[in-house]
Amino acid sequence: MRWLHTVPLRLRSLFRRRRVEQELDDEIRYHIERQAEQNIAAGMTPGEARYAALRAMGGVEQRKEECRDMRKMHLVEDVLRDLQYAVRMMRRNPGFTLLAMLIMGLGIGANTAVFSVVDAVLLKPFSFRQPDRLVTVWEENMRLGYPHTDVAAGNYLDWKEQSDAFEDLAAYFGNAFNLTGEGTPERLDGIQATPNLFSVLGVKPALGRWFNSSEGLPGQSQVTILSYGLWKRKFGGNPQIVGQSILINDQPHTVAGVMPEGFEFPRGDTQLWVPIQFPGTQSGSAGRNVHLLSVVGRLKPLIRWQQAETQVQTIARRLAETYPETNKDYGALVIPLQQEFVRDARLSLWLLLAASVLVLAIACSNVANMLLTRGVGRTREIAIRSALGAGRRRVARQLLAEGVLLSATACVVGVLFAAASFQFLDNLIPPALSGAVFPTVDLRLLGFAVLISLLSGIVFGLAPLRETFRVDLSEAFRARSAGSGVRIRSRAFLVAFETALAVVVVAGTGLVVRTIMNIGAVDPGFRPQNVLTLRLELAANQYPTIEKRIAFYREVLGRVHALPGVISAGFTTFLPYTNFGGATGFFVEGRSDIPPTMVYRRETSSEYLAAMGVSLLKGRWFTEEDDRNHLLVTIISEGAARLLDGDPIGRHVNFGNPRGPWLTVVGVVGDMREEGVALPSRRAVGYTPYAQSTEVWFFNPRDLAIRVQADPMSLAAAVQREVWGINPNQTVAQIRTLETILDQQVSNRKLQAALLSAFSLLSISLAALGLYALLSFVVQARKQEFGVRMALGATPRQLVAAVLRQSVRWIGGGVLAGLAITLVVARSLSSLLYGVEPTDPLTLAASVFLLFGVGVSAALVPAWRASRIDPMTALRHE
Amino acid sequence: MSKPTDLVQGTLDLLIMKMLALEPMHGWAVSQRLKQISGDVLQVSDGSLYPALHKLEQEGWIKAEWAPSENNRRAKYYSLTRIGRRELEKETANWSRLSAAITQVVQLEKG
Repeated sequence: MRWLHTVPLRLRSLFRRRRVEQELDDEIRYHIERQAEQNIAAGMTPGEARYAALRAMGGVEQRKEECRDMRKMHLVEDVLRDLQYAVRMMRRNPGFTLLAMLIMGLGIGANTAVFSVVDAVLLKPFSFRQPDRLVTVWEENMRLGYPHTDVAAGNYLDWKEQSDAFEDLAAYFGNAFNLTGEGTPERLDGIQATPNLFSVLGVKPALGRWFNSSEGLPGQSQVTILSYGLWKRKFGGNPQIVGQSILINDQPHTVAGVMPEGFEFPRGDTQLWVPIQFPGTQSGSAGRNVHLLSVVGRLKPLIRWQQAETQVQTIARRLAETYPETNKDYGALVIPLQQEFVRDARLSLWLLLAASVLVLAIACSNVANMLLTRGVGRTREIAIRSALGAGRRRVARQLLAEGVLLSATACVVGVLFAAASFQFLDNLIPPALSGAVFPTVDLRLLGFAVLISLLSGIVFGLAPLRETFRVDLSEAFRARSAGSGVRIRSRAFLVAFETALAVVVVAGTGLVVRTIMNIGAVDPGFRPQNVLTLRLELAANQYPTIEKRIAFYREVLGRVHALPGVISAGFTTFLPYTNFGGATGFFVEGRSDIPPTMVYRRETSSEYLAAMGVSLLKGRWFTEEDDRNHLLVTIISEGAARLLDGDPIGRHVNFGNPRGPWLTVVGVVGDMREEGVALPSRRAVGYTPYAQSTEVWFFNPRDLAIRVQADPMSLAAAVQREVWGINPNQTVAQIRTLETILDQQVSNRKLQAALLSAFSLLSISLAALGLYALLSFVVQARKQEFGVRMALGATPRQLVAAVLRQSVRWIGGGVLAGLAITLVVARSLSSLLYGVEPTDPLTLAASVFLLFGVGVSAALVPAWRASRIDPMTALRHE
Repeated sequence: MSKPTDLVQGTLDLLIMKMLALEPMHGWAVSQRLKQISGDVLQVSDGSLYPALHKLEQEGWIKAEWAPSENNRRAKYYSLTRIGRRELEKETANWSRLSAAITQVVQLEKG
């Protein structure tokens, strides 16, 4: 029970400090007085008596200090006192404090903001249970050039049965569903998935239940699970929705559950899930020929994904031997889910984080420099403190307290700054995750901010220490020593260091900006201006025959053409960038020697290619004549034409069937970049007129492109009205301009470039500020020397040159070091760049010259000031 | 800086507690009593007394109270706490064992 006594005592010495001190004072004084009285009684004079009493005590202040030490609270007390003192110092120099706080706040804020996204996307993965145990499994066929391809159902079932590396494997594929009977008909992107998908992901529905294992089999009652967003938007968040029946593709489906908010798998726009199973697909070749599925699995405990991969590869080899017809050359690969989902975003986020760390380093060295400069002004103060018995540790602690206090306030500024920037950071989140992850201010983020603030506080707080202790005490006390003994080497080093880092940031930014310019300059193969696009997915039950579909397309095009301002309009299977699927084999009559090649297949209306602004290189466009009563024709893209020797016009080709029927090539058009603007299309394209289509199938047109005279979006409502005039239950989705689709290709790069540019600007300004401050200080310190030189006949020009020479040495060193660092680290950026080498001489030279120029400009004012020194005033001070 | 090392480590603490066990005292009285009883044998400086008192107080073995002193001025009176008393018993026993052992060793050498 000792603490009953000691704790109140400790608290008392901490919080009633003045009282406790007073008591200590009284106690000692009482002793001295009594002793002195006794000494007087023994015959001493009062003076002698008092002196003897004091001497017996042996240094009253020291004894008091020993008594204080006994309280064991002196560490806390000292820290509190240090902080108090630091607060006083900060308040005495509000300008300095504000500037340092702002610089550090920006540095910390930039880091925290970027970290919030890195954390949300890379480190804090999804709402899945143990997401690091989740993997995706793919097939690959290197001979056909697919490193990463969708899985055939039969193979999926064999993996599931024969592998013991997974707790379970689920499969799914994207589909679009018509939701009718609930207000306006809607086309919803959804997923058909094996019933175990949610248990594999380990996410429970917010309402209702998972699918059960028999659901999705033919003949079972149909069910669905809704996304939180769909449930809120379409069903008003009705809690009674579970068990109700809704119309999906005109079939009644019972709602089994609603997924929680933020669960968006596999994409942000997935709105519902419908179960499906694949019975009987293991027998027969069809189940192994159609590669459609995405497969996600949960690893058993202690199994590494590499082990799982080895296992599925073994199974794939066995399948290739058993079913050579379908599985020859098909292998398998496993990719951790997190890696799969963030892919390219990973590197660009790390790049941003690296850049922001550099900015923080620059900010730190800048503030360190400011403290150093101020430290020189405080030399006398610290010398006095040392003379009064403050040990080195004590002084160090004092400086540390100031640094940490500064960084703590900067931390608050930084977190506020980061929180304010969240809304601008959306575009950094890869589209597959958008909507599923958000940067938030949480404990992890605050922890990160506090950690980096503390680290920087220690770094720049202690930076002045070495300098401070180098000061000779006796020299410090001589009044006029301010300039002579000043060492500037460590400060010059810091300035060079800042310059070097700034070069790295600026060069990196330059490379990314050039990438964006290059992408912007890429000819996508079509003219994106003034084109409205939308998707009309036809429901199988409403349009069960190709005749009905053709009639619908005709009617829509007819009505759209009648709208004012429409120049041309056309249907296609998929617009560029909207789907990377829909490829079939390309076959040429009489040429079995051409290696199997996949091309994208598009069924289009006659005007589609013209409406897109694709250039016709040879032959003719489709016409209204090209229907089933006429010759079967096709237009192929340049890439496909290259596969044919000689003139392609008039040649006979087929898509998907090596035995025909043969289509006659009537035209060749330029290649469009189908997969993304930054990469040339891997595959060529074959276009056929929809009017010659004979089947209701995947390739039937769904996307409509309308070229107009003015603002495309102003036509959107009218087009929608016309479509609903034809069929009030028809869904109209993805209404946007072609430019928007194109812009999405670069939007996250643009944000990245904007952030990097801000970082660059910040680092350049900080480096310039650092140099300016240091030179101003140097000029001030060498005032007398300059005065003397002037008096001896030096011209102002010579003095300016002297200062500039010094600054050029520092900047030059920094710039060269920065160039060297850039050359080493830039290579790691190459996969983020397009059309520019990571060591692009132009970008590097521009960065070097920029920093050099800015540096010299920053030096001009102090240099000019040096030339304006009046020798008389300068010398009078001596 | 001189620390209270004039005496064997812990001995001063023991002496102080022993005196306070008899009656509450203020610091000066303790110093007087120490001089009286140990005379010239034990040199306890006034300087080392107060840190020792403060240490014992912080340990919770003695407690302090301000009260009027003999000459009607307020002085800080120290007295032994209950756990202080237990500590004193323990330390006294330790001391007896230690001094007996030392005596034995010293005599052994002489003999």
